Amino acid sequence: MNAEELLKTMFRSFFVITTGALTSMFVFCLILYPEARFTLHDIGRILLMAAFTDLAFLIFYSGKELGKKQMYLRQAVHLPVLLAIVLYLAGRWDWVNLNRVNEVFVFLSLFLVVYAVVCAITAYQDKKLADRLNRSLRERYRS
Amino acid sequence: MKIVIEELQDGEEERIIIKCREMSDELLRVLALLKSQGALIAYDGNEIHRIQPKEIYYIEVVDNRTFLYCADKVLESKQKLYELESCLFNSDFLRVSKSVLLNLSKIKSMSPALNGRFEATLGNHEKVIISRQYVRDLKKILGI
Repeated sequence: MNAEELLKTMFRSFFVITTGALTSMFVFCLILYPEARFTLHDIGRILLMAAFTDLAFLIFYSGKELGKKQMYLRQAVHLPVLLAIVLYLAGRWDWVNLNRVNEVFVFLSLFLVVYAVVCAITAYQDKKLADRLNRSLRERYRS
Repeated sequence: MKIVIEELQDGEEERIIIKCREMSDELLRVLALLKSQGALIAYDGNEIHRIQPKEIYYIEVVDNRTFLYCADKVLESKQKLYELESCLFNSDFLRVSKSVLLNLSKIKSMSPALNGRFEATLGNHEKVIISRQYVRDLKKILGI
């Protein structure tokens, strides 16, 4: 992914991550801390976390167009990096007590669910578009 | 240079007449273009080839050198990618990434390649990545 494309992806992802983080925190607190109250700092931290996790997209930077395998490889690196960032910041800001296994488990599960949902939606849309492109190409060059 | 186009009378043969004081480089280029009839000039070492665009699968720039990939050979062009792009305007060629012009008629199938990109498998089994920013142009050409 070149610099221009990467910046566009990071810009788009910032909003997706922020929405994902807000949704996860809502569900997380609903399950474990229904009495929780959020401060102005927490909102700032959610935005900060979105910005930090967005930086992980730099893994996809490449001067040349990456092949399919290279892209999958980088995505395999991207996920653990994201997890590490999220867990580190959540622990540092006391969103999660890292000594309590169930809290860490719920937190990571929610993160993975959001990640999986975003990936699944993107993959579905891309597959649908690929089918349409194949159909149009076949019609155009049928003769 | 002045260009004059005259309508022919019935039965007259179509022709191009060039009136000049001497053959300039510009005129020679125009003549070469007329003679090539849409063919591109490419090189294989010291050999010069005239190649029809329909024979080319894709054109790629690697380390500032332009290569034309055909079914069984790779030739080099002295032209820049943007020059070839304008030469091949209104043909089956489409810019699919910063360094590749792809002949759409050679695509066998397409599949997603993560992050809004697509991978085109060509008739010669080679694979070319279509960058996200050029997918819009492809959709437009294919009427999607």
